Amino acid sequence: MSPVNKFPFMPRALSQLIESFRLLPGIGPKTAQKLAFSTLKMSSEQVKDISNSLANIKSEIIYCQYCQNISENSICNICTDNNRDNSIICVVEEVMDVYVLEKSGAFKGKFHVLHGSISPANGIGPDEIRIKELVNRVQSDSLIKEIVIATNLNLEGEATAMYINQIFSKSEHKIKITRLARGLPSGSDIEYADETTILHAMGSRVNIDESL
Amino acid sequence: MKAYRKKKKYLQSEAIVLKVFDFAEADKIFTLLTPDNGIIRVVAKGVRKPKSRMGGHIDVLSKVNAYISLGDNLSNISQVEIINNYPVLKKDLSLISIGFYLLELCEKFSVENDPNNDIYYHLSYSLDILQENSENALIVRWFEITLLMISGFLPELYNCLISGEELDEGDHLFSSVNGGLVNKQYATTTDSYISIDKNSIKALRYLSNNGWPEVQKINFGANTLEKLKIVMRKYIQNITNSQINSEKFLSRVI
Repeated sequence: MSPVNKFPFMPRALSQLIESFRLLPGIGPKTAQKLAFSTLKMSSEQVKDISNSLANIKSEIIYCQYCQNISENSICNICTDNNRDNSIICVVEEVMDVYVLEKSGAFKGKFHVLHGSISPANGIGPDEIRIKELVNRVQSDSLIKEIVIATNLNLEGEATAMYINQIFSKSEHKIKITRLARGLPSGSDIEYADETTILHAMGSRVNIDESL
Repeated sequence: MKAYRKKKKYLQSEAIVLKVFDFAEADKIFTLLTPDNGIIRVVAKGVRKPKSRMGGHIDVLSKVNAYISLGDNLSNISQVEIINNYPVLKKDLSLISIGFYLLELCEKFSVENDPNNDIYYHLSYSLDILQENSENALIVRWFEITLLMISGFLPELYNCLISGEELDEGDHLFSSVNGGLVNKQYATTTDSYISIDKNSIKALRYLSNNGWPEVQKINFGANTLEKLKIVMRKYIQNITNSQINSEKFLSRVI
């Protein structure tokens, strides 16, 4: 059965495209309509390019067998890069976090993507995210000396960090577990900071020479 | 002529944050438990951005003072300030997992926009004692029994569910389907029961009749608490007609 046409006054192809755009996060009905009408104005080649790119995203992208990041090959570009530090792994929740950290240029080690965080109330436990893959990776690679946990700084992210720490503290392969520092964001006013952030910022204060 | 009643547009309330999930680009939807309005789901705009003024003030397992602008479908949270962030709980994985469990139970037993002062204050008090006490398993059992009592689901603990006769001081069966004790001799073969010893029955009765100050003085023993855990898990599953998600994580961590 074909889907119901929600815009009967419009050609079916256009209304279907609007509905498809609406599936994307942050796209409401108005934006979806604007995107659909913009697509209509594009040349056939451009539309074909977009359509191919959309199709390829599912057929050509797989997960790296080491770090679980998205990749075109079984091992991603970051894992194959010999210039990176193999002894340190940064654990992040989502693929987007890898790109944010890469853009900052602050980290030159390797990554591990969990694809989520522990959220018991939403039915996401340790088995639903890629913690087992991280444990196997660390246990099979004696070069790894440190894990930097860069999960989000909310309760789910903290629970995930603590759970990973608990696993490795019981493991025979002793490695250093660190967590990203917490503090006030650049450009922010102390007036609006919350108690928890101030507590952490005060606790991990540094010598003024180091902070400049 | 129909009387026109202007709807209240704003709400300021104390609330405990039960649940959260990401919404749109940088927003989150929080499930709040309030004393006078039950469960309210609110959108916090832009809260995922590091520079959000609200981000650090609102998270799961926090008691907050929230300023909410009420909408027809979803309400928006316009301001929030922390009352208690439960810092002690948040430093310990086992306490966090208990916290998740208590929050989920409250969500299951509460109704949207339906006031239930008792559940709210029971949760608030239980989180406070969880911060100050080390008797975690006992706190969880006392929390469950009291929550069942507040919600009107306290199991029958004195008379046989089938015969109605007063039960003697011995071992009996617990029916999670019908919610209470059954004398072994009246048990039907079609229902599934959990065997429950006399010490566990006494413990259930004591927990249902007493507040935390009295309960904390009693040493029930690990075996009794384990038995109560099995009974409560089955019974709560039956009432809520669903699995308690955080229970799995709780069993794994503790």
